Amino acid sequence: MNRLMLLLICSGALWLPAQEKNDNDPKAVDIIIKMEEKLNLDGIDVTSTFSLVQRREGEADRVLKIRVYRRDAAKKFTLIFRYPDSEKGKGYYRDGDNLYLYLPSTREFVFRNRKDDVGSTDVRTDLFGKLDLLKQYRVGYEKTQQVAKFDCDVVRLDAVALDVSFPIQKWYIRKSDGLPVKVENFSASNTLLRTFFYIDYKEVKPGKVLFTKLMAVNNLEKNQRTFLTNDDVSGEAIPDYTFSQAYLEEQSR
Amino acid sequence: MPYYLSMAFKNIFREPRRSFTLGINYFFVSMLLFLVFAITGGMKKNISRNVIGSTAGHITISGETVISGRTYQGIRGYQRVARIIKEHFPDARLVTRYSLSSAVYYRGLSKRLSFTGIDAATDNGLRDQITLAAGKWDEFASQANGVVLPRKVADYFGLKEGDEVLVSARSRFGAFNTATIQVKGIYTTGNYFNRELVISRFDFLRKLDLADSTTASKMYLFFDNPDRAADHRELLLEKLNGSGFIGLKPASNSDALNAVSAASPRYRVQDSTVNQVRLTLATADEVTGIVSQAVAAINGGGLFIAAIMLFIISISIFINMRMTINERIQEIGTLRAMGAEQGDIIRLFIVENVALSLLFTAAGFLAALIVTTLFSTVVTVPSEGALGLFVNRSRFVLQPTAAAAAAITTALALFTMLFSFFPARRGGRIPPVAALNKT
Repeated sequence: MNRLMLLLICSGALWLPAQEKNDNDPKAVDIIIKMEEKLNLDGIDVTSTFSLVQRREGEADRVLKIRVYRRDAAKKFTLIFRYPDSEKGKGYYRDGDNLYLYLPSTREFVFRNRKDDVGSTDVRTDLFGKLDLLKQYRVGYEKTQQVAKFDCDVVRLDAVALDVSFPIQKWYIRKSDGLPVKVENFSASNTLLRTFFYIDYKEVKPGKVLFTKLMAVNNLEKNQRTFLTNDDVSGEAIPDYTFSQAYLEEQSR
Repeated sequence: MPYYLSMAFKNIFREPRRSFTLGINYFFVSMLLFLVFAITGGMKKNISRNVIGSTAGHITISGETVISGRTYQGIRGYQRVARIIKEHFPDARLVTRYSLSSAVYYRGLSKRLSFTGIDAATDNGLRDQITLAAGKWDEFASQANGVVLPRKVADYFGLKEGDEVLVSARSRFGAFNTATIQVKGIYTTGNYFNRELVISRFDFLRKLDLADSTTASKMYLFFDNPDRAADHRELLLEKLNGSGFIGLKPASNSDALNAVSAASPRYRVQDSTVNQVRLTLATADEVTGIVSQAVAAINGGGLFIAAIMLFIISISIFINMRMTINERIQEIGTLRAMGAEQGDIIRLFIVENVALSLLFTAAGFLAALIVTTLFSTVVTVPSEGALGLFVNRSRFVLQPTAAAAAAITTALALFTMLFSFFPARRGGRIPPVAALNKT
């Protein structure tokens, strides 16, 4: 068993760089492109309020409320924590590949990995940004599978470089509308780490949708789940100033 | 002068109540200062010894590697660094380790722990500091994914020898990786800095971190004569800089400590596209330099309390001497009539007070020595607890020194001389006639 695990680790380390040649499955590519066209909100600004409820066995629920300002065309977003009071004023600002966490207690910006966990929950900041899966992953079509009552295409994603959080992912994409209902994230050695269930969506503009209900399950922590709802969704234009470090500082006062 | 000296010593307890009241202040001041210096001296010695035994060498090499503008912690090309070290310091002992912070999951419990990967065949540094409560070191050394856990960690998870546990780490590149570790030993340690360290195998951690075979986290260099570590570093920096590395000294003691203690490789994006390996070489003095600041702060606290007590003593000296001079005015007159000069009277009273201070200071030292001996030999404290920084192998490390005693004694004697001088001068100025007229 131990030797097997070690072999898996070694193979994980050696195997990933070998995937750099881009031998994508055309059917899977097509599914991903259609899905990203709907989920990526290019050309529009979106403002919403995320509520995260983290549920852990034997512990009280942890609730976070975050105001989200998103501009996918410029690869920018600003997140501002509104609740609880202990987190109030904290925020993230993303500009391209650079992600900064603002800490009001010390009034400093800390450079973070763009895949940072939001407030130590199972939700990652890259969930708020534009998807670019075909650039980061080699995609392959696996099978058709039913998830809940939906017939889904299962697409497997293998990272072309190790600078992604999850080197292996499986996306379960609804055949009816091309939107994901489940995403499984795996480690380099193929251990299932987290599962996201996309429960509901809202159309922001014609052909553009935003998820409004999501559940993240931590597969390593027993009975740890994070429920996420997306309210007060608006597609109105956001002032440029909102996407700046200065705005985060101002909002924390 | 010997006559006055003898008289002064006889006069110390002429008014026993008054002398004890003043003397008890000297007793507590000297005991307090002696204890503070013993505690801080012991703390510094203990921390330096334990840090060097666990996470630092006489020279600690840490590094970061810039590849296409992205910076990763760790020493890339550590074998080349090792060759340069061996070439110029053939007698030095070199230890190379891999450090990683990883989350451990077991039966619904999870905890983030610091792992240190060692070459079990050659690196005995950690083995010598632990006592195995379960398992065997040889079994750990022969198992690629074997680990030796602190008892505290084993108790938290309810782990025993042979159990397999899942670990999940964010690798140096950002991707998560997971593996199974097997418990091959459970240890206790007297070293505070090892109390939560999971001892693992170098290659296992390197692979878990998805690093290539030329990468290590830290290199520790030990010399027979550590006093020359700073000179050795200069030479090593020169040789490393001449071999394509960028060798640096830490900008501050805080930087030195950060370089040594950063457990998990971090991922940063930089504007630069230059590929380079930057190495930071920190001496043990720099790594533990922050301890000196803490020691100075504690000593400062002790001195502040002592200063308050000395203020009380100065007032006591004034009041006591005024009362004493008024009571002994006839004696002063007689001494002056017998030929004693003004200076002799002043010296008499000063020597009386200094003798009193010396006597009670010595008593204070004796009491402090008894306390330090009791605490360092009888009292046992768990090394893993809040007092761990002061403890080695469950015993307090206290370091009373003759130098501290001499410094305290001198300071108190000079203080007493200063504050005795002015009331004594008043006594010395009393003319013999005036003094004798009081009879």
